[in-house]
Amino acid sequence: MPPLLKMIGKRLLSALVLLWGVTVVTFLLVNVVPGDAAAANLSQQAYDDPEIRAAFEAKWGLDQPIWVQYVRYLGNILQGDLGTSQQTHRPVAEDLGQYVPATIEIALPAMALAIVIAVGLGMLAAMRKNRPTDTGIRSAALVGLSTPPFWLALVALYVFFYLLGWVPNGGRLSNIYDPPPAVTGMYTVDAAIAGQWDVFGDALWHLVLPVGILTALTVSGLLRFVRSAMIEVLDAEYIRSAIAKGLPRRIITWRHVFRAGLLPVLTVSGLMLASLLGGAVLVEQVLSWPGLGQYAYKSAISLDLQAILGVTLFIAVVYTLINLLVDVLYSVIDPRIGAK
Amino acid sequence: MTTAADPLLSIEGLSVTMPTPSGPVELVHRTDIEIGEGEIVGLAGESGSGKTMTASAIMGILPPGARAGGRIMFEGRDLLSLSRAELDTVRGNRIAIVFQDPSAALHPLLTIGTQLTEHLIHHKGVTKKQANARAVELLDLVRIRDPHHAVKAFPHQFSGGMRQRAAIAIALACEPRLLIADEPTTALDVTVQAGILRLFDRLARETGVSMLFITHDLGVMNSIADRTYVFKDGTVVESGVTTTILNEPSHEYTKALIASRAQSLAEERVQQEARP
Ligand SMILES: Nc1ncnc2c1ncn2[C@@H]1O[C@H](COP(=O)(O)OP(=O)(O)OP(=O)(O)O)[C@@H](O)[C@H]1O
Ligand SMILES: [Mg+2]
Repeated sequence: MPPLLKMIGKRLLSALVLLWGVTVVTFLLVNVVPGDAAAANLSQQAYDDPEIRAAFEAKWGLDQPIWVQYVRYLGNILQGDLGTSQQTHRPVAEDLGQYVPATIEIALPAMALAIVIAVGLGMLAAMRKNRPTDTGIRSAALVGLSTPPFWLALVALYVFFYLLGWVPNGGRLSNIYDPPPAVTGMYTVDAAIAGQWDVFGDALWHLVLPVGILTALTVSGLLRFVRSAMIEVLDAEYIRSAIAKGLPRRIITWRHVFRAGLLPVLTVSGLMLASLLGGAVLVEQVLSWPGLGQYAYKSAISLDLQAILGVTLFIAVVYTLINLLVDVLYSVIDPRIGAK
Repeated sequence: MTTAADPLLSIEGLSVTMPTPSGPVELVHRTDIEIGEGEIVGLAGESGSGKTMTASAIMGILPPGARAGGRIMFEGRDLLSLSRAELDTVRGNRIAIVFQDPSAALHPLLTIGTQLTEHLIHHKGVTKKQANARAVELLDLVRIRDPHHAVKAFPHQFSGGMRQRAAIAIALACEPRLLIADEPTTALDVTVQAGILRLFDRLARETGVSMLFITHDLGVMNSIADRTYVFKDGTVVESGVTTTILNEPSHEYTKALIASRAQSLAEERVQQEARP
């Protein structure tokens, strides 16, 4: 078996073990923490109805020994049954299916843009270390880093919607349009699939501000990692070798420096992407973006246990998958890892 | 061998100054070194005497902030007065360097083949295919086994000695007139050092390349260098034919170096005898 596949297989296995661990923890949170699970999960009305309560207890096996309960819980999860949200009275899985694509639709483009911008500026800053270009870039990043996200969102909304009128004032789609037939749940993608180009354009227009804000926030965080990683590489002896070979600057920068500096940046980017996919509460709130951050926030303040656990499980899966992706990319870029 | 009438490289009054928090410090002063066509010249001196600084000045790879004064004449031009672009037509092409530690000097993420061919393609304008063929030849020249396979390998798949052989092949790719070797065996396992030295010796004879061979080991100097410059505290204190310097050192410092070498040899022998 090729070493890469073997590596992926191994990581996948340990990812599964990790996720299994998460289910144990979430299960214990619901069932062992003192309290009546039925009371915690059912509305008062439903709780008072003995039939509903019995059905609930039978479904989750509350009358059974704890390990049976766990097996049933795991079985439910594996069938995609994450319980029902108290708040929306809908299956949590269905809720996630609606909120998660909205988050992905802004998180992925924001991360992609942020990596391109942060790598470009970070490399420039590293190569002009301690010179005006570097100082300028670092100051800008520092401003971005010390700006509260909701404030940035508010100011951006004020300037680009209210003053300039370039962007809509939040939401995913203008009122005159209906959401495109759901395939992925991402409006731009679904509109393109359906060939509804006016809807596509409108959805894209609504993406500009949230993506722009998340990009700015992410760039500020990522930039100093890129800069310090690149500075370290620029100091390495193998870069001196490249200079001593009389290679053109373009080749030294992209083939020698960029490649080596990318490795540490990859790990940080992975973590940042995972964090973005967990939703950005404050930005989503200001821009009325119905993403995972809002869902998690609402579930938390209303103590909607099943919804909270569903979000937790989803985020655990996201972190695990992204870690796996980073590991794979690492071994593609760095032959020293894949060969082992 | 004597100095040619018109030396290949002539360092005239070289100085290297580094800025420090307590003001600029001159690490190399008024140094004159000449290297003739086809000559192997040694540069000996203890650690910190400025040997690497001198080599770096030739290659234009001094640490940031360092300033070089004087002249380094090579093929009718003063390397110190060239623009970066002009210098880039010389280094890697007409003058090449082999560093002390090949594990650090080779790029860990690029194949040996890429590192062997990229400057060849750039300087000589050959096609990728021609460069690859040349890469195999070069690995063969430095006695790396199975060169067709080795071009696809990464540095971490090589042993230390093999890495240095690869680094030497990289340096020789463009058939430079001058090869600088900065303590090329110090970082290597003792068991492979002799092999690398023999390789330099053979390459000098086979290719006719001139060499500036830097070492703090006078025994090494004896076996490889035609002439030797003895360096101390950033300047040359003695120079001449290597055997003459070793047999009749005129400077106290050279005598001390020879004495310390004799002592370390004796210590080595004691250690070897102590081993079962
Ligand atoms: N980046 C630097 N900044 C300031 N001083 C430096 C720097 N690099 C080296 N030096 C100093 O310059 C002097 C000469 O160093 P150099 O590396 O040329 O010595 P060397 O003769 O090559 O020694 P070695 O045998 O250890 O390689 C030393 O005193 C060293 O401390
Ligand atoms: Mg040195």
